[in-house]
Amino acid sequence: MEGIAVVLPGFFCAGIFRVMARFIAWRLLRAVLTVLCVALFVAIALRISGDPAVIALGPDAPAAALQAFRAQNGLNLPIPMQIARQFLAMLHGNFGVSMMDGTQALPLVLRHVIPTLEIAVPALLLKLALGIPAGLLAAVRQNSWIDRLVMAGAALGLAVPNFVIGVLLVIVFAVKLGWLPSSGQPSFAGLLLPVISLGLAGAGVLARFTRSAIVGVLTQPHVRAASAKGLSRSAVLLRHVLPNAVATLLPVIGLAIGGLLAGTVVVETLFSWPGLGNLLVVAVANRDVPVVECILILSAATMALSNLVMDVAHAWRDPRIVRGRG
Amino acid sequence: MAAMNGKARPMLISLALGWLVLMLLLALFGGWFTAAATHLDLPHRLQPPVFFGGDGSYPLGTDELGRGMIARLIASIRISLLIGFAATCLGAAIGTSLGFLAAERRGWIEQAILALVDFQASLPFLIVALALLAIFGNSLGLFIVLMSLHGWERHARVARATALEANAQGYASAIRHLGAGRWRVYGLHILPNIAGPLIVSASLAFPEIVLLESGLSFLGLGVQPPLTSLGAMVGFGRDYLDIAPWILVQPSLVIVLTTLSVNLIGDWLRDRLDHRL
Repeated sequence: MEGIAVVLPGFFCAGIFRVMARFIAWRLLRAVLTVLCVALFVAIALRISGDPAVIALGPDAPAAALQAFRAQNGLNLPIPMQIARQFLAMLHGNFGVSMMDGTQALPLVLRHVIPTLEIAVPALLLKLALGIPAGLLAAVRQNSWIDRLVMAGAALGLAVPNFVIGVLLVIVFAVKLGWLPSSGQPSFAGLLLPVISLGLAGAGVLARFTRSAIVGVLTQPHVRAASAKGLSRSAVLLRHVLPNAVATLLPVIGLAIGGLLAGTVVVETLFSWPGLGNLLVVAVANRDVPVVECILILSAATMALSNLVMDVAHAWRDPRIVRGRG
Repeated sequence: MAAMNGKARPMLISLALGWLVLMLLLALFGGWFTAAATHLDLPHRLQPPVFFGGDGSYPLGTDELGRGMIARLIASIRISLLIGFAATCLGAAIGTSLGFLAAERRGWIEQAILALVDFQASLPFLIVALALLAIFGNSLGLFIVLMSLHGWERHARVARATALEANAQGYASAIRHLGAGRWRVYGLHILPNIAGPLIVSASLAFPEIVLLESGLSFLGLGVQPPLTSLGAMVGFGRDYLDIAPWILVQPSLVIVLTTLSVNLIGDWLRDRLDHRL
């Protein structure tokens, strides 16, 4: 990216759009590279762990069957060729066959995405709705009891694992009070406990980040200038503090969105929710590598895409970073 | 988080330190209880603890096989803390070495290490850990190595940045001109001078690793029986949630208090040692 910084003055005559397009293209390339690296990483780890033929057919398989399996799956080729073949197959949507029930891994995984999104998206919204206002309030009323309460809540939120929150919610609302079902019905009542456990777990971290982002902006001279020229407190917050704090918060929110598919593993298992996380845990317990690999690549792609979108949003909010760092 | 001045130690920090010392003592000297932790007393299964209305023969109650909760908890604390400490130290060693290597060699080696750091930071680590468990299977040693992969990138980043700063200072080049080798410069001079930020970085990694381990063990994919850990106890206790909630509430409480204590002490250390993080 040094190049862009040097070439930039020339580009400025051509317009910021060309610079922006370059920035986006560069970020897109990085996102694709990340996903490729994940696939490569899995392929290498698999080769280190042992002979794929023995893993697929079991240690007692006859030598003839192993030979046939190797020939059929191209395992006699040199390793770079094998990996290239595998990448090509993945590009065609062929991630291999699940060892559990012999179906194609990709459709099996995609079937589980919707139930995961059903709890992950409301949980993300809950997280944002709780975390950002709480952090804002704490920052504005620094060192008051509200601030202490929010920060104590955030510290607790960091220390309590989400399965503990989930288990406590089950004990109170499902076992003692009997108001809500404790496991996996695809209904509104069944959604509540998993969504609340997920949302509460993330809200604390977000509140902490929001508070420090806003405190950082509050101390800057332009905020003091805005107050000095007689703007009301709420106008200063809305027009001068929040837009600047958002720039710092975007990467954190991006991480939360990118982690949507990956973040539900524990909670889904706890509530027997039929989503991606549940599938992943079953697949890992059975060492069903094609399914695990497919989920890993899918969540890496989600993460890369979310980072890409957030980078572009960040650059759009604050064009300095296009010039500053690549 | 409030600015701490002078030597006064807040009450909360003393409490947190006390809890950690207790955990450490239990982990170090709890070896006598490991036999009791697997001793079955079937007639006395699911005895409630004293504060749940038990009779006091088992102060913290028993589990579904009549094993005393105190002995189970101690055995779990031993394993959870062992994994937490060992993985944090290993991760810090890996990360610091790579960070130093990047600072010393610069050029393409530095770029490769930084790319690896970015790569690790851009992935949800839980999924990576699960994928590696699926590929390599599970054993205690392997599991510790796997947990140490969490957070090495932060150590590497901190070590590289602080070593670059230290290299620019007079003392590092003075020692170099006196003829000291690379190992001596980094190990004996730079490392002690940048220990503060590294300790802070480790204090961030430790609770995260404890939580990660307990999450994986809760799922049944981490520490395997006959070994037990705090997360595994919570996971097995789920089946007795309605009739014997103490099986799962007590280890949960230990996890929360331990991570909370480390976080509080970490915050406090950060205020005193380092303002970069």
